Amino acid sequence: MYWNKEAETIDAASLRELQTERLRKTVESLYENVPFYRKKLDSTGVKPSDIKSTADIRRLPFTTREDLRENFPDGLLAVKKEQVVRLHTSSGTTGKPKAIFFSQHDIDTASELVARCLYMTGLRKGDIFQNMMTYGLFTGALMLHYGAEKLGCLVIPAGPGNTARQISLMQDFGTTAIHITPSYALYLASVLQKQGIDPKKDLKVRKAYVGAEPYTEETRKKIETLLGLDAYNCYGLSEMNGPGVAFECEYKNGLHIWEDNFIIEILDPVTGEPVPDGSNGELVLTTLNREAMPILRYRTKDLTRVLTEQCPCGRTHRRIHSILGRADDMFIIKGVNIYPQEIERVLMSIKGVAENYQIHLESLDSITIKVEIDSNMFDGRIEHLVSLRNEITEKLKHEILVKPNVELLEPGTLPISEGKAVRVIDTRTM
Amino acid sequence: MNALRQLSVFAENKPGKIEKITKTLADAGINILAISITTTTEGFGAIKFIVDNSDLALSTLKQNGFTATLNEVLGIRLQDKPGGLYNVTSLLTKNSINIENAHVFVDGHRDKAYLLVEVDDIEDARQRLRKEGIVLYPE
Repeated sequence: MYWNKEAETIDAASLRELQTERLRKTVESLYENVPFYRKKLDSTGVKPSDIKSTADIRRLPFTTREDLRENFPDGLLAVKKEQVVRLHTSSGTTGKPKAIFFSQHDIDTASELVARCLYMTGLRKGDIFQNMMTYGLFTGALMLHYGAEKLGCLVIPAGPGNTARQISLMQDFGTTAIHITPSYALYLASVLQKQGIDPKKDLKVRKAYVGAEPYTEETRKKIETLLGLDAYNCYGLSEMNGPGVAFECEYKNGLHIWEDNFIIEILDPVTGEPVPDGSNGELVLTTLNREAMPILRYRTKDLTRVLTEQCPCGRTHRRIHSILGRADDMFIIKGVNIYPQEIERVLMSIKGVAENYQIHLESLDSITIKVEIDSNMFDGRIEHLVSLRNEITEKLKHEILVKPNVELLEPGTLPISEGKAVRVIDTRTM
Repeated sequence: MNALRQLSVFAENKPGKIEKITKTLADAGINILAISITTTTEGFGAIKFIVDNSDLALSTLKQNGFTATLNEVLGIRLQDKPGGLYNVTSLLTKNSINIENAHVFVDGHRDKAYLLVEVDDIEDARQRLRKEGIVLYPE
């Protein structure tokens, strides 16, 4: 039941020892090879030899996205350029992208971690894995591709989009597992329904690795029901190898983070101080086994909490809750902090609501939610539409404490996404 | 035609919606016999039609991306004289039949008018009204 039993079930004491040793090596390498980190470490007076336990991580400097951008393109490289075999970049919607370099060791490690992840969901040699994520500069598709090949799966590098062809591939080659974004999974389900294809009977897809966008438990259940499969939450970011940093096991109760490769901290996003175990905060990660571009205490801006109970699967690596939101995605209406995921959770729990919705922010005190209705709920009775709208309004008001303006739309009105979905449209001018 | 079936189409209150729906029906060669529009202050409504070929109309609209459904309505014959509508509505009240939505439909021969009503329990309403001697569509 384990891809790498020794690593996955390592006891707590040995894990701390391994982490301490790897952290010291990481700091040594950064101190020797990366002027940016040497300067930061010198200014706090920490030498690599000062790392005596994992608790010493608190003495190390943070790395932010801005640091990555300022050191673009190769300021954070810890090895000679000819040792680098791969470049990925992370979306540069605001200014320059972030460049992430991998040595062969780093690619091999990332593949090994993904193989562990996929294996723990039950994926095996003989499975047919259709990869519906974007190939290219984005790490998402390639790292899962390698992990699945390492397991011995047949990998179909379909990439996203062209839904008709995706469905033909599933039918022609008997795809058993897919890797997909949550918004595309929901869109795929609606296309299958329109074409009269019942995925439970007509397709063999039984596992979906769903990631790249945060989503709620309600959305996962919807994907599982509509597509007739088990959906596993996967988390990763290019700065930390890409996908496979944290992944759900067969129990789907939180995401295991491979602590032999990363140190997890959950910090208060404002003060940078640790929060008690089990409290929500910003996930901060340190790479422990990376050669080309190790990163100390990376501020992911992703909000989550550590789940402290032991997982029944027997893996000793701690779990985090699925991502609750991004510190950056939060918006303020009438002085209330609101995360888009709270809204999604409410919408997806209401019968009669379809998959697609948008949040429009037009002023500091009003929020409009555009919701597509499920065409099956329309029975011609206007009063049923009115009560659905009232139910959505009341439940949202209860959750976010602000009464939203809810607009019901016909299915197919909002733009569809064959990749990352745009859910929040902010047209406010400050 | 045994039962009288009404076609309902979901519509946001946006200019051009009725035009699009009626064009789709026209292109499919469907004749519209009656129309009623219900809107709400919440920005959406339903457009209801009686057409000569309900099944074709429904499938055509769905294929063209509209959200539509068919439901059965009662067609109550109206007398063409003063008090004709009053007679019918008073009988509906007497029998505690609550009207959800109503409009008027003139049949294919252009000589008889019917009040179309949506009610909760159509079979019960049908029986009660027959006992009162009311003429229901189809005659």
